[in-house]
Amino acid sequence: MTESLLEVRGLSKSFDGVPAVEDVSFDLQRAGTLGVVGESGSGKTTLARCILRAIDPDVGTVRFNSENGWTDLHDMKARDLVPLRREMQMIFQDPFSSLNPRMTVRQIIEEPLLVHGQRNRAKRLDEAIHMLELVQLERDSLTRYPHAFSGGQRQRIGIARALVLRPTFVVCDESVSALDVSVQAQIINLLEDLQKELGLTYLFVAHDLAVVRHICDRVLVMHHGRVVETGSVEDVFERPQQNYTKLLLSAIPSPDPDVPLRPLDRQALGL
Amino acid sequence: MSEAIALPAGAPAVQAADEQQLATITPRELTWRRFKRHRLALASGCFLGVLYLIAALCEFISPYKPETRNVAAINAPPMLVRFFDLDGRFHLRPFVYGYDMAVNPDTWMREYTVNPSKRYPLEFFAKGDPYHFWNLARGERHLFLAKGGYVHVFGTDQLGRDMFSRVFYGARISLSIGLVGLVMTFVLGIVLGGLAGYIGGWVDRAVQRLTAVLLSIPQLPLWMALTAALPPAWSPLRVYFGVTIILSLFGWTILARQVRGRFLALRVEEFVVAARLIGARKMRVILRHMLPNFLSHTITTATLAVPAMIIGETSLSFLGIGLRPPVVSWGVLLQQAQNYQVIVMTPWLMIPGLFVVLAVMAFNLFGDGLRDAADPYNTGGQG
Amino acid sequence: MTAPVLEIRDLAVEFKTDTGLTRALRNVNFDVPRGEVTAIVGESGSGKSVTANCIMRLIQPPGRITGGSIRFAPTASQAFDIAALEDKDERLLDLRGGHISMVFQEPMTALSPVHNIGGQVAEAILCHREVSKEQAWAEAAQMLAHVGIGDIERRMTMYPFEFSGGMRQRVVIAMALVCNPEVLICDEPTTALDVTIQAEILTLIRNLQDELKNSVIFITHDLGVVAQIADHVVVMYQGRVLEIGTVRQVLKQPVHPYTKGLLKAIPGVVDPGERLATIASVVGDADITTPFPLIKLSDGRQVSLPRGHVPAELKP
Repeated sequence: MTESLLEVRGLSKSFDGVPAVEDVSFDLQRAGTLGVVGESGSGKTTLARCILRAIDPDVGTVRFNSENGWTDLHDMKARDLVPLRREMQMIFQDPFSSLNPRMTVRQIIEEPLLVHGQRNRAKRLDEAIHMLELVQLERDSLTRYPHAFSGGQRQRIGIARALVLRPTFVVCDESVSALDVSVQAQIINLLEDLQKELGLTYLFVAHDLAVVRHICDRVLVMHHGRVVETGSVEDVFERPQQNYTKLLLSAIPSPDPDVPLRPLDRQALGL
Repeated sequence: MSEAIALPAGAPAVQAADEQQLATITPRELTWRRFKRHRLALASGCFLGVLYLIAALCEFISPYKPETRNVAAINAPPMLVRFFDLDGRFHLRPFVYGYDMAVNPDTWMREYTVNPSKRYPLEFFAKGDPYHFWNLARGERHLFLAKGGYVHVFGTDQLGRDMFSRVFYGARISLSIGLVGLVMTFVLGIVLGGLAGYIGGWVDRAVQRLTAVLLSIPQLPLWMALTAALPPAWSPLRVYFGVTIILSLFGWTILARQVRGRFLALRVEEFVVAARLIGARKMRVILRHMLPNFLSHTITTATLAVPAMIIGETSLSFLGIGLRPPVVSWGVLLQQAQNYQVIVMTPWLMIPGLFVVLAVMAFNLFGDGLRDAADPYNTGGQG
Repeated sequence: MTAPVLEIRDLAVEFKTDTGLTRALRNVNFDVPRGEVTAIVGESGSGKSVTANCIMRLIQPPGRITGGSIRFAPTASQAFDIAALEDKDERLLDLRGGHISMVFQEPMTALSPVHNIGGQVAEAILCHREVSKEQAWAEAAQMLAHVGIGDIERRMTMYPFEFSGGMRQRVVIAMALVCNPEVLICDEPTTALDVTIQAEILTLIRNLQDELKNSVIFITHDLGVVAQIADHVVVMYQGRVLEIGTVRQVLKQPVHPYTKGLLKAIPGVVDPGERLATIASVVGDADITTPFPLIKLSDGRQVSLPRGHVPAELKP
């Protein structure tokens, strides 16, 4: 069963006349994981934020298959977006700046429920405890402040906050980039488990190609705000068609010392 | 070095008991912990607490009313509170020696000599000048008085008024008169700076232009003009109060800029974006997510603005365009110490100046300590 | 085989924190072989950067070197212990930027925003050698060409903000190399860079090392980078050294359970769809927190394990 959850057509956004995202179109299948890769300045984060309307796109359409049928996100008023926020959430990059240092873990996880009108204290608490179990944190974390946690633990709190409203669509914006290798593995496993358990659809923005290859089933390669190549992970990684994709792939250092790094030459590829 | 302190990531949790405890304390407690280590700031805080307490209770603490004259002791030097008399005997009850006054036939100056036969023991909670405590209750008890004579711990001025009493009555005015204006400055600064920072666009531009205009107006001439412009029937105290409030309409600019800057910085913090993405409305984002994160910073700025207010009062009154007698404030008291003669002949008239210096220094040290402690990104353990 | 350029013995560093003393380094022991690349690899909190800062004597309060020695043996002069130098010792000034220089993670902070590129590189030369300004400028140009910056004359009069991240890191490397240091310490020099730029910088550092034959200490958390740049690897964890060996020994046949876990946790090692191994799952019940002394195995590597846990074929 392949049903679309998100349709993006001709999306563009520029800042002070400098284009960040130009004419991006793609479909996202329900319960799938689409990777968006590219180097810094490729526009991948801007794209993710335009889709969630953290910033407003200039032109283009973003259609989202919500509980109440297809909805156009791109021209919706901020006020009307609020109920839709339940269904789409974001997990951030920096586990240190993404949590409010002045709120306890309980307040952080309950905040989305409060905003969406859950007035029952006991139900909120139940839900928060349930989320903590889901992201494998101790129950006594509730009364603590973010400063008491390590990077990986903080990222789990961020995941709990994103999932507490039971969204169907989650944007992971470089969500594992700032973590140590061992913690990164734990969080990637957690994200995969949660996807199976809750039927989540991920848009996974990352610059680390190895991570994308591991977690995604489709991938979108961006360069200078445009999509240069798109396809299944296997196709793109094994049989890249575009020079830019080839360049990116050739630059990944292999952890095997017998596979030497032979990056392609940018100029020779005409990039 | 930050990496050395960070919790071992993904490692088996070997946490010290102390760390466990640190985990659940609130940012406020964390701030207090860090502040406590700042010894000088802590001491300054205590000093200010005592000073404000004395100012609040000045009717009771002062042995005399500020306008009470002691004609027997004009321009008398400070008296020493003693436990041992001149023969070396110890007395449980502290006492002072009275003065003998003689006019020097050459200089026509009053000269005071200690007279050991005039021994005035101090009496605590004694009845003395009646007063209205904060205009609320009548009282006549004073912390201490000299039985059968007089006590002037800081000496007296040229009218024979007790400097000790006047310094503390002055403290009440000097430490408080600017506070209302200060609060107004802060409210204006936070509201206007916050609006400029959060809404941006034309609101931001308007506030920025207004700031630029207001910053270019020189304060002293403005002050002088306002003092002259307010109704002449007003008492000097009321005029001064009025001026501080009018000035607060001009004084918010620097704070507004700071708040705007912090707002702009906070607006792009991921946790603020996260709050917007869960669907929180604008006001909730501002009040619940952004405000607590710069309130401590703002309070600190306020603490550092108080000494400026004290100096402002003192220097304006000293120049004669602030408060005027009969109001008693530190600046007014220092008017008496404007000439060279005073410094040589009656140096104790400069004691109010000492208090200004101490209070201002204490506020600055206190504010510095507060600022260091309240920085939420200096959590001494992470990042 | 020549003597190592640096011998670090029982190095210990403590930091005073809110909660008391944190032991950032505990009995760190390893050698830096002359003329080769030694990678120090570890996660945050492993003490890899602290070690580098010790070698440069950049540890500042609340941190303190509490024990051990760092024996530095320059080719041309007498060997001495860096850890024992007084803060005012002239050899210390000579050391920093002269004998040993450092490249940091964030090239923007290593460069002054208000001076042009040429001036900054020339200044680095003037600091340590008595040459004329013109000569320093000429040498700076030479050095910048060496690190792969084209259009030198124009670029030298430009300012750091006009350069891309990769170009800035090249400039920083040029500055680090102008005095031909015996040891070059690179502290995560490619972490802030894009993968294509990282590949260029790694290639550059490798080529320069082949040519100049200086000793390089390369600090990173990325095992892919280690595999591509290093001859020797030092694995650190919680302020201790767990395993030392050649790059092939450590990355292809790791002995220590933590090293094994680190390697298995990289995405790309297992097939997509499979669960990633976490360090905890690989380490299992093995004790990686007790500081066992390093033992030398039959193939020359050193590992911090109890004797009973050493694989039979590698028993010393």
